[in-house]
Amino acid sequence: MKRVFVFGALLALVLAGSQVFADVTINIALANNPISQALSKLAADNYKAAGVTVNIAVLPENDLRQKLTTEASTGGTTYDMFFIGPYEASNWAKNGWLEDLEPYFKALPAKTLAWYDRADLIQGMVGSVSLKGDAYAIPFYGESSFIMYNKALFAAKGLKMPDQPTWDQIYDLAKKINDPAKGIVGMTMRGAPGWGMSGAPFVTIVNAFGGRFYDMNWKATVDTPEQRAAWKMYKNILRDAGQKDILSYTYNECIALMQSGKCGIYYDATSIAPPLESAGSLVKGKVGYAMPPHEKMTTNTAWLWNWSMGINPKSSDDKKKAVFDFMLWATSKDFIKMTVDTDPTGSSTPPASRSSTYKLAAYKNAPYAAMTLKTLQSTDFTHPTLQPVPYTGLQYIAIPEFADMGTQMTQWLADYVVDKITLDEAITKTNDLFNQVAKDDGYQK
Amino acid sequence: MRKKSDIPFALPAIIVVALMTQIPFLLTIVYSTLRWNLARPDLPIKFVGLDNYLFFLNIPHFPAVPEFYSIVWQTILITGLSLVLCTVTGFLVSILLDNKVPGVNFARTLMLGPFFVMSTASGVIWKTTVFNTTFGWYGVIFKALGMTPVDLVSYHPLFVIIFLFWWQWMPFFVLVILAGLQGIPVELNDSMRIDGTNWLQSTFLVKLPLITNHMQVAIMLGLVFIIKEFGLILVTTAGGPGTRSYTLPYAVYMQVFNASNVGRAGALATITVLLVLITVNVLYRSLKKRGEAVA
Repeated sequence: MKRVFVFGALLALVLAGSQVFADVTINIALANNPISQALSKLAADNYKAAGVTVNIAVLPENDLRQKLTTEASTGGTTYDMFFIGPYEASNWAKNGWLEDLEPYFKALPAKTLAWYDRADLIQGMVGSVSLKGDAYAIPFYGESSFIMYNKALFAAKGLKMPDQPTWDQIYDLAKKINDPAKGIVGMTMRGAPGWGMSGAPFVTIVNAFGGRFYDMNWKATVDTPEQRAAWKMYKNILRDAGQKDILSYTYNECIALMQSGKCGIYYDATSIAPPLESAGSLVKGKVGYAMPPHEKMTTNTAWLWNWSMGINPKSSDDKKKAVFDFMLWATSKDFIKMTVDTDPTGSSTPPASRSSTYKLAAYKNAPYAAMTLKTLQSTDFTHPTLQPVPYTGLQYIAIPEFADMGTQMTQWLADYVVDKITLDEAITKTNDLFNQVAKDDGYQK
Repeated sequence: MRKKSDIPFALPAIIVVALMTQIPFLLTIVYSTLRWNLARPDLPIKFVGLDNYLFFLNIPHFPAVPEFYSIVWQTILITGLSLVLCTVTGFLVSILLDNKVPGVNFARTLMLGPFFVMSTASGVIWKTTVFNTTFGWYGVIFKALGMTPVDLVSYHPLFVIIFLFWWQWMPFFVLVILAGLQGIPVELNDSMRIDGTNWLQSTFLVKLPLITNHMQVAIMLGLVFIIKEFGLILVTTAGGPGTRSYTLPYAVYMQVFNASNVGRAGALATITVLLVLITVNVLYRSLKKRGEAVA
């Protein structure tokens, strides 16, 4: 009996103690890429807020998307901060799955507002995650897409990369560089299926070839000569001059391959250039940059994306405040300066979020800075295709169903690339699916 | 009279079991009749009857078979071949480990290793350190021999999945079958030796019939475990290329977590449960019949 009493007293003490020292723990999941990894590390070492514990998980991009979408749509509270892009932001803000950030900014003291300098955030990026003028997320970093190439391999074969290449030229160059006997890969691109994975380069290829996914009446237009040419180009590059394990390659594998100096051309996000120029990279100082390839469509053939931070509206008020505070810290000029101080190569620094970043010495002189800015300026996500379309979005279609449709399309693309199905089958399946979604969910009138 | 009075005592337990096991399943059946897409909260949730089932079962362009049937076939193929491989090799390895030789305990422990590794961890290890054609052992060895390694994960996904299932679950079969073999009385082994039976006769005509019950348990549990295995597929092939290594549980996962389509996921889950129940039942009956015949 005495033991029970002592145990009870101890338990009561522990419970009371936990009440007195009640901490706020916020859970955050980030997409696995070099800049997010840097944030995760810097936050663990440098972010201090009284009574706040920050748990950061870094997840593969596809997993992160699935987890957060389920979380938001079912009102879950596992994660208090949503790490999302414009595709999610535009749909989620409408559905009430993101907290409006304006009241939080209004509640900030003038001194903090001045320190944060909201006007310094790149407005195009802020606009892509806002609804009716209210910010629902803050851009952490942004990206467009361009061509990166290994100048040493090009010089060795006496080849020259045009400033504004076409996809046909890229294919020819990739084939000339490709040399399996020496372990040299002509060109690498994301091959792992997923709308935000292989879907990103692939959809910009479709746009460049003059293809579109729907006409103005939401009738699927996947079975067109333009689309077929784009599907073939993606396959031919990867099969004739690409990495062997095509379908295992996310951008992380592509980066590793390019960094090893054994790859000629790499088409991917502008935010991938800094890791190529970082200390551990064997191609540091040897990478050339060119505009995103075009074909029938001569401009606006890149993609536009940003990774932004929003608040889970279902979290408790204490947690929301803690998350907002963390978001301000992670998107502040101080944070950007800290990343440059700890890693002068700029490979940990979030690009395209603040104008002031481009005034920093590390950025002004970086070999990719000028081309990044030029590519960003060339994009217009409201007019993604040669012919008019009822949707917006450059590497995606900004409707909630695209996460699934896009993923299925890239699965069939993968099937086609490794000869499991024919082009006809892949195109028919995709066209049928796109038509069905448009019918089922009330887009086709 | 006595029977009547027993029911109230059993009732709480029956209710708890019914609530715990049947409510989620009944809810799944209810969901399967709804048109409910989590990604479109603006569209109303409405009753659509069997539409979600027809979405999968319908064959609109015969003889072209829809994805669903390929996935069912892949599930059968993966589960069936894994079971056969696990049973045959599990039995043979058990026979090997049933001998009293120095270090046999160590060998048994090593053999059981894969069973205790988390399936997601073993999947990642195999995919990156073995099967990768650039960095993995497989790639390095093939290149050293002057051959070009084929990317198995992309081109032969079913082989990879079945191999990994076998690697992961064979030790479980060994565990159960070895327990059976060790239950065979020493006297029987002695009399077999005295009667002059050879290895083949003693193994397949004497030992195998004696451990039929253990084999049945291993196969039944193996079927239930393997058919719902999900982590290994997710981390190795992610169901790909395309849907070439999807199984029914993986397809259910994609319907919920990628398509956010609760209704269709419910229908697919219900179909999966029905198919598994039927398979388990058929297998159980045939094994039981065979067991009785042997006895």
